[in-house]
Amino acid sequence: MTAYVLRRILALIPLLLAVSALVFVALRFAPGDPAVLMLGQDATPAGIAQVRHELGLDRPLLAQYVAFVGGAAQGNLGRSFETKRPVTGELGRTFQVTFVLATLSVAVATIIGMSVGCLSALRRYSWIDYLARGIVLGGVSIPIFWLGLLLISWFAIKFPIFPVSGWGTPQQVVLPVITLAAFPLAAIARMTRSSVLEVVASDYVRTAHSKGLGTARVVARHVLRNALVPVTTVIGLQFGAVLAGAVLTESVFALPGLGTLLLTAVLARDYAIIRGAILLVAGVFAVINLAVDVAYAYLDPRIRYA
Amino acid sequence: MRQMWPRLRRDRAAAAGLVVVGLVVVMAAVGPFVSSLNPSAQILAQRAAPPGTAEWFGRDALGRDMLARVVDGARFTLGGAAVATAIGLCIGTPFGMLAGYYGGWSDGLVMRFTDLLLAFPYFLLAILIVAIVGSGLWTAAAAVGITKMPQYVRVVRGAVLQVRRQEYVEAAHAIGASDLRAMRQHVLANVMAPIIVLATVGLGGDVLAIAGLSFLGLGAQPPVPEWGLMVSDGRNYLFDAPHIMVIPGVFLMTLVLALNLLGDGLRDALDPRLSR
Repeated sequence: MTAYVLRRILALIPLLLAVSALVFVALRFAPGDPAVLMLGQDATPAGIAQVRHELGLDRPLLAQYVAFVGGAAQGNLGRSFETKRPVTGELGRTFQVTFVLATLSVAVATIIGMSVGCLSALRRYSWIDYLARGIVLGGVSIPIFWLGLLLISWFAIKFPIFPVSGWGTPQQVVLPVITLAAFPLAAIARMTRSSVLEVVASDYVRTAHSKGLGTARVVARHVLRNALVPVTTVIGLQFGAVLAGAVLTESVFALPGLGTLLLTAVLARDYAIIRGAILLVAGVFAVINLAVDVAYAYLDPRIRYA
Repeated sequence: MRQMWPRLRRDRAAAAGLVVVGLVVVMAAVGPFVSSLNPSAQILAQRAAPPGTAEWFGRDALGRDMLARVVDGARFTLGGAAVATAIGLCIGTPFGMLAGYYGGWSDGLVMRFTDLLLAFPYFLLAILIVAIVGSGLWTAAAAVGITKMPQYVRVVRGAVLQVRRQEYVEAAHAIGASDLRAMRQHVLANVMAPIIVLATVGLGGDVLAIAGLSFLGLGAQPPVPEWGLMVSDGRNYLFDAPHIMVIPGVFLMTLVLALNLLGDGLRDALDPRLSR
């Protein structure tokens, strides 16, 4: 297992190299010169050349890439074109916010989603089941940016319980987490429901019942344990969806997170920030996928990685 | 395939979804020809007028009729989703067939490239593509389409691997059919069902992704009445005129809900093994 995890971590290096190469080549073909954008419309050619030189944009693409990889290996991702601050610092500052937001959302979505899915499956065709399926359908269909705005207009404007925007106090976390948790909650509930339904119909659950175990014990020991494996995949996948959804949520609630940083960088053509943010996201995404695979082996002893 | 319609008709949720999607399509098709609905006419004295008797849905911050704008926006929302699906399907399917049919290095190359695309959460990949190509409704739709491509590659490749060694494909070769002909006539026919399922199941998500990009300012640009952009327009009037934000969102959610119901129904109808 340890060897497997180490091998997967080593495999991250070529992935991140390929991702950064792709981003480098892609940004080269992007319209709009960052130097022109920084200096404005009436910049002199000499001024533009000067800035391009300062940003290192006048060097051959391969040289730029090698310099970037060399720096990245030493934990230096360069400086923002826009603010001149180190990219690593900017990423660290904003990722804290996004990390807290994403983790809380996935945690809330997992707890509520699994409970809803479980109840729905165990009380199939009851009003609970129909209500749960309604929640699932609504959760995957509601535009999250719209949900965020609705929450603001109800719980921050009409009934001012929570603040409209900002980050730092516990109250400011509530509405963004609800917004971001809606979609993963629905996805997890849906998966839990179908997974539990499948397990409940299996022979070993019938055996457990027939040897006289109480329902609570059967559900806890036999149903949940086995239903958890496919649900874990969905939870892992939702982390990716939540990282992406964070861009919209942070925009709605004006949070100083990674999504906001990336969005501003995209609009300002701040290549240094774009590169760093993309690399960070790809790395985090890969680590999550690895964690899901490890969780499988833990939950299902039949799964072994050589 | 032939059993699809009866099965779909029996599924009441899917039928309801189909009706709603149909209504939106009618809105998109007929809207531009209804002269009483002018999405760009401004009445400045009635800026942000609330929904009421004069205009069902009121007016937006620039005094434009919300109903006319929502109706006009339907074709952009639907068109964007159609473009995204078409791009994902038309690029993904041939690559998936190439990888599945020939295997070897072409398989390796295609699959490594899709792995690279799958290294990002798909909405972030769409943002990155828009960052490179520039913003706009159609580039946003194309970007969403490219992020969908890996799914088509994988599904088609898997399906092709299953049918490639079947006797009827070998028989087609034996009577002199070229690779291209064998693929088009025999392999493609057998991968149609999963492709259709994938395309419909994904439509709701495509609409949401494009609307999300527009909301961020990376998709449709004003004055296009795309629904996601209209929600974004309403952000600054949450205190005084929340209807500007609420109304396009209701339409957006209703359409996505209907598309999801239709997609799930179609999946169950085309592939009963998947239904639970």
